Amino acid sequence: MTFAAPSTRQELTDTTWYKRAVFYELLVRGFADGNDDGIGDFRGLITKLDYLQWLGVDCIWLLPFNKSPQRDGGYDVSDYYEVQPEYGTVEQVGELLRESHARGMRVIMDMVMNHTSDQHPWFQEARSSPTSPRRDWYVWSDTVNRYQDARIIFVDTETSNWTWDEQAGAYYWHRFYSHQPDLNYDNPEVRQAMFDVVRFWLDLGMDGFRLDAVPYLYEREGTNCENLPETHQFLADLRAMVDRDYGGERVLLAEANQWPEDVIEYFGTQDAPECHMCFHFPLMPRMYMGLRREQRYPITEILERTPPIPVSSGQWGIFLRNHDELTLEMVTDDERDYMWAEYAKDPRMKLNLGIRRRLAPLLNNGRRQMELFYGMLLSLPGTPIVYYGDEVGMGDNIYLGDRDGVRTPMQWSGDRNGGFSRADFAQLYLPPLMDPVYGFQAINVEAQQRSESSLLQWVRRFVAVRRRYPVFGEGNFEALDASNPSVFAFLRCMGDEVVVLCVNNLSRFAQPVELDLRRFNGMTPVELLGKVHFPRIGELPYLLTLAPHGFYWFAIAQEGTPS
Amino acid sequence: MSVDLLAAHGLPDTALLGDFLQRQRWFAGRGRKLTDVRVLDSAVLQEGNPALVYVLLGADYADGGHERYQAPLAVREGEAPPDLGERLVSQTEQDGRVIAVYDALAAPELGWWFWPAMAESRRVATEHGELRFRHEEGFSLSAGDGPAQVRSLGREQSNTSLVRDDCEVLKVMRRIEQGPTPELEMTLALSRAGFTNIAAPLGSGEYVARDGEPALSVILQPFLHNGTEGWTLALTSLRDLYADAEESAPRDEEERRRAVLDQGSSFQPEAERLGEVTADMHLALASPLVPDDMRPEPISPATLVAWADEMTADLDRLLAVDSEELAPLRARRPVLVGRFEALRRLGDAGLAVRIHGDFHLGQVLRVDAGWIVLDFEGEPDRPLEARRVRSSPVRDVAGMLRSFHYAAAAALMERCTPSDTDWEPLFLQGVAWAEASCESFWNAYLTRAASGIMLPAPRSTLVLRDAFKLQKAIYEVRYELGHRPDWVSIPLRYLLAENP
Repeated sequence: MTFAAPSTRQELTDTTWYKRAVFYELLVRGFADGNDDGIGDFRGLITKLDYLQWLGVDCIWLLPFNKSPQRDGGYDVSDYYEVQPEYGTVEQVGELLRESHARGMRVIMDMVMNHTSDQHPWFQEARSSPTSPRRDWYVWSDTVNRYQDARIIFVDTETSNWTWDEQAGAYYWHRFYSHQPDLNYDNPEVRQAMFDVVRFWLDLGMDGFRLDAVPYLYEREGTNCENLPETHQFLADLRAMVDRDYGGERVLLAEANQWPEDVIEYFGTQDAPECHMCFHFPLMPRMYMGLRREQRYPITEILERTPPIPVSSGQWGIFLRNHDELTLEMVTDDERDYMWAEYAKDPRMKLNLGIRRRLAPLLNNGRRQMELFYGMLLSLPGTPIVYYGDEVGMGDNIYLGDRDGVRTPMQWSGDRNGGFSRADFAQLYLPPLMDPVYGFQAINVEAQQRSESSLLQWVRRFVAVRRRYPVFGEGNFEALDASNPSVFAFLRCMGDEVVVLCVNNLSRFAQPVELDLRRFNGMTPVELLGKVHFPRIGELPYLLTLAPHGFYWFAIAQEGTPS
Repeated sequence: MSVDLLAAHGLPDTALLGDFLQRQRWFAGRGRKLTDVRVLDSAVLQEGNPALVYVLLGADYADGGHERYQAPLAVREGEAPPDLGERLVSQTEQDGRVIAVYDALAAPELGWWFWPAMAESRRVATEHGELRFRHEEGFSLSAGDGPAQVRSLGREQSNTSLVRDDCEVLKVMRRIEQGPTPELEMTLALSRAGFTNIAAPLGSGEYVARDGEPALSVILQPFLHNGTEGWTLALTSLRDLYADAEESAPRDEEERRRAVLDQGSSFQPEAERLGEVTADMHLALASPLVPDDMRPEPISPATLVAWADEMTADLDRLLAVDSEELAPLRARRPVLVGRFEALRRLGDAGLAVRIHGDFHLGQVLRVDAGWIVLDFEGEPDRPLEARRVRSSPVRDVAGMLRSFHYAAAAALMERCTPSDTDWEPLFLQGVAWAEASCESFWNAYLTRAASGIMLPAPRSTLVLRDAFKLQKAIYEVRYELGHRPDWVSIPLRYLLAENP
């Protein structure tokens, strides 16, 4: 079975759709409440699919919705075949998939491969007795001396990767919280069990997975237990199974919070591909740094250090914010040193590091800055991922604690509870924002849909432009020299035929720039939104002037050819 | 056939060549009376139509001066290419044949000839000497390479540059001088000593007149992508700072300092990295890996005395200028001379090494990989031998430190002039920026340089630094008096400061 509903769009039979797609990341709990219990659910989400289609979303990424004690935002799964009861049922997920596909949208889900909750029946069985058939599904030890070279990721809460289990009479291995025991991938039964889970959701029509914490699947003595060859082999096997049995249209997105030169390993090789997409983590904080420094080097440095993707099916996933930020624990020493050196000198940047904030507050609610950031997100190489609420410029509530601060209810309207739920206010899983600047009275979808000049309408227009030009998703990237350091200019090209020029002003002041465009001598830059024809390119440096935080997208066209 | 053509036709007469020479942007003799232009040497580099002919022109001046210019020419049977402008030498008709002669580098594909010349280490005999080409290890051409890859760089100043495939720049020297060229000598030495923040040469060519010393003819270097001059980057940071200060001017030292520390477009991280790169450059120049004639040597007491004398003489020469503005400086003389005298009392002053010699923000380029140091020719007004003298690396450091102050003033000059009422509070804000940048640069430099032995004890290093900075500022005042009277107050204030 591929899709329960017949597809209405040609792209649905396209094996590289994700390269040209715009992703939208959302929290079922926080998006829309369909049964008035104060918690978002699948029924509510289904009623909002028209909105996502209107916005131009190609693929929805659902944060974890499997059954879970919810001690780590759902990344502690206690049943892979069940849905967290407040969110709905497996049947409703099926309905979501059918309804999404009918609208030409796809859906991927978070899949936590590395570990389960300690409440998972597998773990309960495993700890019950050394002779339990599930004992070997987890990693046990009599001492804490094994795998000493593996770092502790959550240094604030954990003191060791081993935790003593009274009932089991042994230590168990966990790379994250101690309530999240790691699965033992050396056990073929575990590999089979996770394949079965994957097949279950693919059979239901799921279009793919965001694979959580993939670098840590295996452990080997004398290594740091990250990025091991066995882990890559498992991912290559998984990809081969998914491609073979599900028609090559399902997508795997790896979360490997590492330096780009290490992350590219997760694309695999042309012969043994692994994930279709990987997140590009360091790009995002450097965009903020570039804006603050009013110069492009923080951004161009990291792009220069990003190796080409070794596999033709590969694509970066890029984002402005997501639910889970770059923390200093999760990057390599090099990057950590760089970030520290930069951030430590700048108290305001330091404040934002490790704390989860939304796009709008990070940019001081500056409309031009938000537009510039969306402009870069939609034009840099990679597939853009928009975090729910950021399209209207929602704020955050840092007093809710670092994770919940950016997980407040989606702001649909100025009505009660921001249109998120008809439940009593006190029943809501988290209070919606109500402050005068970011509260739902001021910032909501309904109001912004009515105003042509709203951020939401603006984002929708530029998403539409991006979707009209496949070169944004699939083209090569080439940084252009510009003598003005505040200007970040680059080309996206497919062959010599299709060339898009993007010019961004990172400064709060108007800036001129002269670009060397001689190779396009005689051609005309055509601005993509208004189709405005700019002066013809000649032998001399091409002069552009940019408004504060302004940006342009041009198609470079032969004079006379329709763009 | 072109050789025949050339034989039949000959080079254009010297009157035409003289006209051509004087029309070129790279001609340095403007304002001097030219008495004669001669062809000193020539060679056919490549036959064909057009043919490529190497021509060395001699220019004699009424003041007794003499210069040599390289002018590779294209000689073509047929019409000259369009739009040559001042780069056309002549177009004549002879026996029904049209012969066009023009600057060969105006046709970038002809410039390709130099690439294989370097790759194959060619030696080409000229009428009165020789052209010798060579390349560095690792440079080679591959089968697909050719003339179509070459384009002109477009920014022509004293030399002419061609770019191949956006990865290499060939600089064809126009005015050539005898003797080792610091640019080539220094970049080769630095590159061999392991310093990578330079455009290390890939190849070069020399012209050697019979019985003459070699002179640099062409140099091939990597094309630096996505670069911004340090000066421009500093101005970007300063614009942001001044715009804030215009909105609400900080009231005291502490607030000004705060404003710099909190500034979004802070320059301090860049200054810090620049300090590290500068130290690395000096450590490489102080290492045993440099050629024998560049080896570091201790700074002798005699040298220190000579420096103190020179600095005092510079000051007195400035004070001899008849200018009202200098009056306060005259009263200040004893303090400044005291700083120079301190040099005489230094026991150990560290090592003298080959230095950059003209180190400031305009000589460093920010690229994606960090800072690149450019242009090792030294101060252009000084004679070659003086530019090759070993000196304290602190001299370069002082140049950069002064450059931060100059950048702060230059960015402010874009907004107002010293006579405006706005000037003073903004100027003080700029000084705070310069001091913060200096501090970042200096601390990073010292930390890094501590791994070597080129610097003396900390106190002596400070004596050197302060003396070199003052000497630089004296030079600046003298320069501004002659060129930009509005700017005199900027270095002058530094000299008059309580504790310069």
